[in-house]
This record gives sequence, structure tokens and C-alpha cells, in this order.
Amino acid sequence: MDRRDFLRTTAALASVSVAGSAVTAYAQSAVNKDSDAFWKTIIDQYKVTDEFINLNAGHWGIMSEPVRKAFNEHTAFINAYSSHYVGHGRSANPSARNYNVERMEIIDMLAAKLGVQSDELVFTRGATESMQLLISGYNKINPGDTVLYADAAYYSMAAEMRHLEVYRGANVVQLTMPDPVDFQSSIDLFEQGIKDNPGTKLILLTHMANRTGVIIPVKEITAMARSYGADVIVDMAHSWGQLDYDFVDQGVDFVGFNLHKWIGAPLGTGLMYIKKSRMLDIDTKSSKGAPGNDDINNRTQTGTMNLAAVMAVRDALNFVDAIGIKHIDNRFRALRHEWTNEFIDDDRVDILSPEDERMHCGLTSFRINAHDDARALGRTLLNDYAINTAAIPEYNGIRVAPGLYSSKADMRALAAAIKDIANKLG
Amino acid sequence: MDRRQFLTSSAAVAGLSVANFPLFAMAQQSRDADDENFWAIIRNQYDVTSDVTNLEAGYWGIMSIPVTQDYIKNTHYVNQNSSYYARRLYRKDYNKIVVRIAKKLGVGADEIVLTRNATESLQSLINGYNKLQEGDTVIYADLDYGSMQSEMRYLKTHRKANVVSIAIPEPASYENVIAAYAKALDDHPNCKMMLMTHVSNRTGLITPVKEVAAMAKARGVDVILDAAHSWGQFEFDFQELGVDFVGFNLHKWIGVPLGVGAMYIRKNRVLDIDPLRGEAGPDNDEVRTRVHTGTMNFAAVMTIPAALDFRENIGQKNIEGRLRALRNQWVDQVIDNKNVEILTPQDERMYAAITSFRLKGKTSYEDNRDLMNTLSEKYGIFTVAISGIAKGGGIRVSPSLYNSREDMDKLAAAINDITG
Repeated sequence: MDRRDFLRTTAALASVSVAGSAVTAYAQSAVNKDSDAFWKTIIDQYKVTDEFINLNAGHWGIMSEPVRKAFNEHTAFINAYSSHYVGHGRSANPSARNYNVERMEIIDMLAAKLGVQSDELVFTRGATESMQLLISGYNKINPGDTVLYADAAYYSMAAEMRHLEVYRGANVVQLTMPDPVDFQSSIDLFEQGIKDNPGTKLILLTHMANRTGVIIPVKEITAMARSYGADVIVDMAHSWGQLDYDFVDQGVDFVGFNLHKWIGAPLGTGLMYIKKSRMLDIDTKSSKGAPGNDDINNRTQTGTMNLAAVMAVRDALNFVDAIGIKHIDNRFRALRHEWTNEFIDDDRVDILSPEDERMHCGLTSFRINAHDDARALGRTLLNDYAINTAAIPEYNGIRVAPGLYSSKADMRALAAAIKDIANKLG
Repeated sequence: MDRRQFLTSSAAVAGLSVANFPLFAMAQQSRDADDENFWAIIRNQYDVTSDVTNLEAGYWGIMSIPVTQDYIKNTHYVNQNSSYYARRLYRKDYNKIVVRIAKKLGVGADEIVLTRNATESLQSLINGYNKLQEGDTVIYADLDYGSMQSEMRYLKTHRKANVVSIAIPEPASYENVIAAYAKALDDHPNCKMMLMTHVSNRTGLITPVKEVAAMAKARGVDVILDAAHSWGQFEFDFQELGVDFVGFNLHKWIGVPLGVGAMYIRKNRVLDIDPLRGEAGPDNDEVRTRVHTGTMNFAAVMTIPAALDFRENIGQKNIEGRLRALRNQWVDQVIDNKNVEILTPQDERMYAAITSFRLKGKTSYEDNRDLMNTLSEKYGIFTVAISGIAKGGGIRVSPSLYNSREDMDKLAAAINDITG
């Protein structure tokens, strides 16, 4: 095979998406995508350990087998072509595959999914990196201006906010989320925060709290904040891909996303969104690019990242899009209710996200009131019941995060375990 | 399998090494740079495309087949066990790996933290270096990596520093490079910190770090070292360099999966680098608080031992000898060509695998982009055009263990053909 033929062959191979072909059959069938029979076919596409039930999908998402296999293929391809694929290989061989072209195709897919422009998105290595860049890069803060966040924020984002005191001379205020919280009280919390701190410039919102699963009304809070002249940076690390919502409708300007949690892409992939008209309000990374430039790519400097992981974002999108976010959202709620419904009238157990369906999806935490050591409780669940969860000591709780690979039987096993532990505590 | 067995076996899997692949039992060769039988066996451990002759290993290193296999296995393992592995078993694996890296460098495990690449390490070091007073001078050179130069320039905004750039002499010699840094330090007595690059990504030049760092230290100037390209490309005694702040890559010349680097801060200097974003209190002197990566690609980190095993089985000194031989193979054939300028001197202390060249008078980026394209289209050789050098751009040639002497002959013939 001569070189030209080889290039064409690899180009043809590239256009066959493993994930796409694996899901096409059910994507086009008339099957009820909210049925357990359908979800059995999804669960079958994951290889997870059978040594324990994994209910900690909140840490990151397990790749489905089509995505994992595609990732392996991308890894082998990139390893074989190396910098030829990334560098200028294409300028000499127009038919050669090129990373930057393929990266932009994937950005286009993501932009279409969110309903935004492609030049408003850039890949990062995780929501943490996106949020670091947004919070530390937001340049509208004058010394003495107030910035607000709630204790529901992810700890390292809270640390970013606190750093603004040193970095920008900001007055950093932490608010305490009411417990239990409801739709209106979550809005009131931030409104009162602004009233107590006139001239508040920036608010950090966490769409879905990583410790409890509480979803706050980002759209309403953002509109309220705007009426006071405050900007909002939103951490959507846990919401996008789990929850069905209209991104554009939220009216937000600065957002960090993960791709390796609920989208199911390989570890080390995230996304940053900056509304085009707000680009100059985020500093370029270490003065990258010409002064005054509004290229979102100059707002990051990752160095060489795991390119195969970025390529596999396409396969992950194909996999979840073939199911559809509406059905994914329905499934996560069904998995949540499968266990939370057991405790609605049980005073011994608190469910830490409200039953208001606007305020929860799949990930939800609980506490057993008579148990005072969350870490010990997590160990008990793992060691005595073979259920892996995440301990949340700040709330004396346990986080339960099912994945697309979870079954209702898994959730019933959890409910039985909680009851058993609560019974033993008397 | 009960749970207890599972725990044991997963730990064993995580610690499994690919050291004993049959190649090395078979290979009884001398491993000298010119033992072509031995190096053919090594070449066969790489699955690279035959579409082009890839002489662009400088971007990142291609993984050998045993390393790729280990990585795929680790990816599968992490994917299956997910946060259970990450929360309960990873830390132990990570610590073992850091101990091994620290041992190789001859430093303490508490002086090393893994990052996602040298860029991240150096961003943390340059941005975080907190000894600068308003108006203090910081110095970098034209042969430093572009985005590190940009980090240095940013200190003007970030720390109100006086940022000075110098040009490394061309042609370079051991003495004139030292003299250039000496002059820069003389010219700027208020210099507080200096960026140095151990191997320039632009020309392949190895700089005399040890001598310059000693000179700098005598004047109270700190050196931040960009060792992105040096560790793994040639052998050096890290401790002897006498530098306190260093960024490394593991995915270039060590050959681990993409997205892994390391950062070194000498133990008694940790407080001179800010912790990242209020991660820790002001008195915290743990190196790990100087980066904050969020969730990293665990499988890539787990694959580090396989890559180190692969290299150690060949021998670092042997690798260095082979890489230098591949460089000499092409340079020796063009060095007398009056139209060719070789951008590293014929001094073994100043080059290893990477060396750039320039066709006389072809200094613009466009000239070199065209030449890169000609090499690729007409001769099937993949290189990269470089710019930013004070005396003009060039073509960077970075051979690696998967290249043959014939590959280098092919390049030399192409250059001589182009220049007529």
C-alpha cells in the first residue's frame, strides 16, 4: 500500500465511529427508552467490576465499552502518527488526519448540543481547570468589591474564590445554604447576600452540589443577580449530561463543564464556556495572545494534553446522544426514587436533596441521623454490603451517585442496606 | 473471588510490571550505539506509521508496545473499578511511583509532585515564585520555550517585575553561553530570578546549567529550570545541577502516556513558591499543594513504572548513546555543506537527540514552513519548522528509538539534494 492509499484508509476508518455504530440499532428502534428492558441493553455496554456495586459515579463516569474501545483505538492511532497528526502533517498531505480539524469538529458537536457558538468553547482537562481559569481570570473586580459563594460550592472552587482576596483585593463572603433548602430559599439566600453586601460584583453558583446533589435555580438566580449588576460564574461539573436542561435559557456567561463525569468521556476532559460578548472580561492565560484579543483559546494554556481522550469525546457524545438526555434524566430520577422513596416517611433517614423535581436528578446524598461518623458509615456500606459510595463528612452524609450502568436492583440493595443499618442502630 | 482476595489481586495488578517481556531475555547484544541488531529489536518494540519517517519526537514521545499495552490494561482496570481504585488504592501506587522517580533523580519523595506536563509545572513555578519585589529583574532567553517566555513576560503584570530577554550566542559554545548569562547578570545586578532551559526545544542545544546556576546562586539569583526535554534524552546527575525549581515531562523522553509531567522544588525552598489558590495555609511546605490538577488520568500515572522498566532494561546510557549516534548520522553528512547551518555545536556536552538546522539565509518562518513541507511531500520525512530564535528559524530534527540509521541517511540525502 502506498502512502496515499494508507492515508485514505485511515481517514475512512476514522469516520466509522465505534460508539455510533454500536448504538445505531436501538437509537432508531421504537423501543421505549424509559423501560427497564431498554436500560438493560445500556447496562450491558458497560464492563464494571462485579466485586461491589459502584454508586460513586459522581467522582467520574465510567466509560461505556464502545467509548473505551474507541479511546484505545485513538491512543494507538496517535501513538503511531504522533506529532504528524497534531502538527503540520496536513499541510504536506491534505488527506492526512489532523488533530486540530477533528478537535474543532468535536467542539462544533458540543456547541450544537449546548446551543452556543463554537468560538465560545474550549477544551480543558476538567471542570476544575475551567473554573480556576474563570474565577482567577475574571477581571472586573476592584479592590473592596464583594464576591459571594455558598458552602455548597466544590471545595477547590471555594478556595479559588477565597484566593480573590489576595489576588484582587476582593471582599470574599461565604453564604450558608439553608438545610433543608427549597427553590425560593436558594434564590433568597443569594439575594440577601447581595443586599447585605451592596456592590457585589461576582457570584459563584454550583448548578448541582457535588456533596448533596441539590440543584439550584441557576436561571432565576442569574437573572436576579444581573438586576443588581452582579456577574455569575457557574460550575456545571455535575449537571450537564445528567440533567435535561436548556443551557441557553439559563442566561449565563461563564461556565465550567466536565466531559469525564456525566458525558462519559475519558478522564482528563472538560470544557469552558465564555459568552463571546464577555470574552474580554476574562484575562488571557498569562497574557497569552495580543492585548485585547477575544479568542477563547488564549484563555487556557494546557500544554500538550491527552489528545486521544479529546478524540474520544466524539464517541462519548454519540453514545449518550443516541440514548437522549431526556431519557438519561428520566433514568437517573427513576434510579434515585427507587431508593429514596423507601425513606420518605422514615424519620431516621434524611434525604439531602429536596423532593421538588426541579432540585434533584440522579445524584443524591442521605444521612442516618443516629449515625455520627460518615466515613465509618461509608466503610460499613462497602465492607458489609459491598456498596461503594462517597462519604460526605461535612453533612454527616453519604453520597449516592448511580451511573448509566446502575440497575434498579442496585438501588434496592442500597435501600435494604440503609434500613438494615438504621434498624441495628435502633 | 471474595472481597478480600479482590483487594489483594487488584493491588497486585496495579503493581504489575512489564519488565520481563521476552525481548530482553533474547537480546544478548552489546547495546552499543552501533549494534544494529540490538537497536532493530528495540525498533520492533514500537508500532509507528510507515506513512512518513517521523523525526519529530520532540513534540512528545511515542509509547513502546509494552507501555501501550500496560496503559490499555490500566485504563480498563481504572474504568472498571473507578472511584474505588481512586479513593482507596491509587494513593499507594502514586506514592510508590513518586518514590521511584525521586530515587532516579536522587532527591526526596517529598520534593516531587506529578503534574500533567512540564508546562503545568513551570506555570506553577514561574507564577508562584513569590520572592520578587516590584522592579526586580527576571531574565529569560530566546531559546526558552514560547509559553514559558510568555509566563515570564506575565511577571511584569503579575509581580511588577522588570522582564529582560537575552539571546543565546549562535554559533553557541560552552564558554560563550556561560559568558552570555554572566553578562546578563552583570548588566542586571537587581536580577532575582532567571529561567533556564536544559535542552532548547528550538535548537536542541544543551545549556551548561550547572555552571550558570552556580554563578547565579553566588549572586543570589534563583534559577527555574525547564527540563521538559532533558530528562530521558541524556544522562545527567540531577543533584549536581544545583537548581531548586524544576519542571519535567514524563511523556516526552521517558515515554509514558500523554499528559504526565513532574515538578521538583527543593525542600527548603517550597515556601518561596505560592500554594495554588489558597489550597493551603501560608506555612504549608508540602510540594503537592503547589499544583491543583483536579481529577487526573490515573491510568497514565499507573503506566509510569512500565515506561521506566522499558528504559532501564535498555539502559539510560545506551539510550543516550544511540540517540546521539542518530543525530551524528545525519549531521556528519551535511556539516560540510556550505549552505547548511547546524544549530548545535559539535560538542558532546551540548547536544543529544535533537538538533535543528537552517539553510543559509532561510530565516523566516515561511521559509522554514515551506522547507518542512518539501521534506514531507517530496521526501516523506516529517520534521517541524521552528521560529523565535534570535538569528532566525530553522527545522528541528528529533529522532528517537524507533528511528533507524537509514532514516537519518534519508534526511541527510534530502538536505543535500535540496541544497544541490
